[in-house]
Amino acid sequence: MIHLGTLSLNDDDRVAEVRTKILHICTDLADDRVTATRLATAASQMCRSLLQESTRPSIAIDLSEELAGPLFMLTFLAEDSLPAANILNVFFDSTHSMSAGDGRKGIRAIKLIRGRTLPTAEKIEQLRNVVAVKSRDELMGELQIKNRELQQSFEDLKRTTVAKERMEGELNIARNIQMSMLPMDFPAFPERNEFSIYATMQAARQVGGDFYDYFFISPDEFCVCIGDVSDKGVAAALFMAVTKTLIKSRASDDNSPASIITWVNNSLSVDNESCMFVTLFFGICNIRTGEFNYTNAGHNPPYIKRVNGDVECINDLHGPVGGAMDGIAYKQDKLQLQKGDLLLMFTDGVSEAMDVHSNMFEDARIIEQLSALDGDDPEEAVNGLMAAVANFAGEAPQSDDITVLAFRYDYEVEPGAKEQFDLEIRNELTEICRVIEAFEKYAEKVGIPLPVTMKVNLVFDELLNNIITYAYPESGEHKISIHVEKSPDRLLIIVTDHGVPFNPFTQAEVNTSLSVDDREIGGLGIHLVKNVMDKFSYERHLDSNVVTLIKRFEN
Amino acid sequence: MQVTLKDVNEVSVIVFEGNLNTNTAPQAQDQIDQAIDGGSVKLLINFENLNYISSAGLRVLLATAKKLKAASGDFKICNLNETVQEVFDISGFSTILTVVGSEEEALTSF
Repeated sequence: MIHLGTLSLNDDDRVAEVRTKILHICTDLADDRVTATRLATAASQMCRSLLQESTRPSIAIDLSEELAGPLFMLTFLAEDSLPAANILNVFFDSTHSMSAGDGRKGIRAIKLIRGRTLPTAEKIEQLRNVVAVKSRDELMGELQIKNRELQQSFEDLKRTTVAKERMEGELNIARNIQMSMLPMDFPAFPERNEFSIYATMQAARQVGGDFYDYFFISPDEFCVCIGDVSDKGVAAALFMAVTKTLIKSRASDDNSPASIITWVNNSLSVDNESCMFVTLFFGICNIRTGEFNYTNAGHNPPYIKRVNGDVECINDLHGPVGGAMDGIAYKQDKLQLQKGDLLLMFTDGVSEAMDVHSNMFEDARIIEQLSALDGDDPEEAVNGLMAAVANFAGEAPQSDDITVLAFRYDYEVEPGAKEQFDLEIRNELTEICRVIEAFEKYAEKVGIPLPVTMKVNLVFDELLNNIITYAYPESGEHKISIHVEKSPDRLLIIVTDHGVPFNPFTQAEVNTSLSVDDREIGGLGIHLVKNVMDKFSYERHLDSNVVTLIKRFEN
Repeated sequence: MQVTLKDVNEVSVIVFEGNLNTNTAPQAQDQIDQAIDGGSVKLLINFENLNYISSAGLRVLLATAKKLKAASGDFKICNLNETVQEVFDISGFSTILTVVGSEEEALTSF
């Protein structure tokens, strides 16, 4: 059977087209316009009936061959019932019902074209084309559909491009936030020759949230900080900005790294729905003494290259990353810096930098780089490490921010200028004598005028009395530490205890104008302290009471 | 702390040497009480060898002053050094207690 084509009968226009095509084919086949016309008309009427009565009708045109001549076959198909084939019976030789392969029902009408031959292959192709050719309307319809699809694609493309541009814009914003928050003026403190500092941050394509900061909180206390926010993008940049601000703000009032980080962590953890967190390494260097107190909150440990060339890892951890959970009490540790020591801090973008074979840079190379460093210039140390990482990574793309900070301590306390007094006592009243004796010895040695010494003795007596009695209400042995520093024109006294929060200066004021009969005994001691010293203050640090006193004198 | 007691013309003179503070206050109180219980109504405390006095010491003095006032007695203090004088001034004790310059002056005023 030779299939010439199938036409679906959508509407009356189509029916007219079908008639025309059948007419054309039959005319060619039969070479007899009259027969062709009759066949076409019958087919056309059947089509109209189908259109009215059946669902999704279509018509298939086929050819076949018999000895007597070619057979012209029309198969009328629909999904459901078909109209009666009476009209077909008149002009076709036979009709019969059949089922199409796809479950549809059909009626086939066959007409033998006597005395003719089956068309040539070439002709058959031509006839197929006749069936397939589209009418102008059909073409218009298809064109409209195509147009709609094209429009849709164009809209999609526009939307994608806008989204992409917005994302690029976001990344730029994030990068701008990040860069604007990092101090980048070097040399940082040209007027201070007690230390030297240099830092750099190289952002990955996707903004990562690394940061560093350094600032003074008092003329002699210098803070350095480095951190790495989890996550990437604008959210990370904002979290970094908040963290950095919290740290700086708290540090202006608090000089204990543990206390600062504890407070910052609490602030970050509350209302942190995005569950971001930040690794932090924060330290405070006392420029005069070289004492460096630090707290590490989940950050990769920094290194220190001592002036004699030894490289040590500062690997104490004092608590988890910041922002994860509130209520954590962080700890801190202390290390002593000597003139010439170089502190190197960095983020894991350095140790985890990868080459094309996915090997990581690792700490071993950082130590190597630091050891091999000629001299101790922070800028050279930082740039040297950055170059080593770039060299190592080669063609591999940078996946994370890389941040390095180097701090070199340059101060040397003048020899013989150790005019400090430090003592630790137990919380027993009998210890007060020990303090006074020791202090008197020190006072004589460093040349404190006797009246001043006496006043300080009095202060120790009153203050320690109060502390021992009120700061440690429960039994048990506790330590109280006393620190005195002498300057040419003043004494600085700091008394620290780890008892319950107790501010000795908030006791009720004493009324010194009352007569013997009316005078109360209490409160007099602290009243004396306040008046005998030039300055007094109380601070509560995380777990300690700190009383600071200043007494001025002429040498 | 060293304490010396002497009687001069019916006046009990107590000399404290060292510091009058939390630790030594009880001892000072005892000595003074002894003198008063022994019948003294005229008491002079000489601070010429005293380095400093703390509020505990002041408490002792106040208690003594109240006791002697109740007994219609007389209580003076003399030879305060600069530091102790300042403490007396700050605490207001220089107005409620009788402070005199030297022991001789004090003894004549009883």
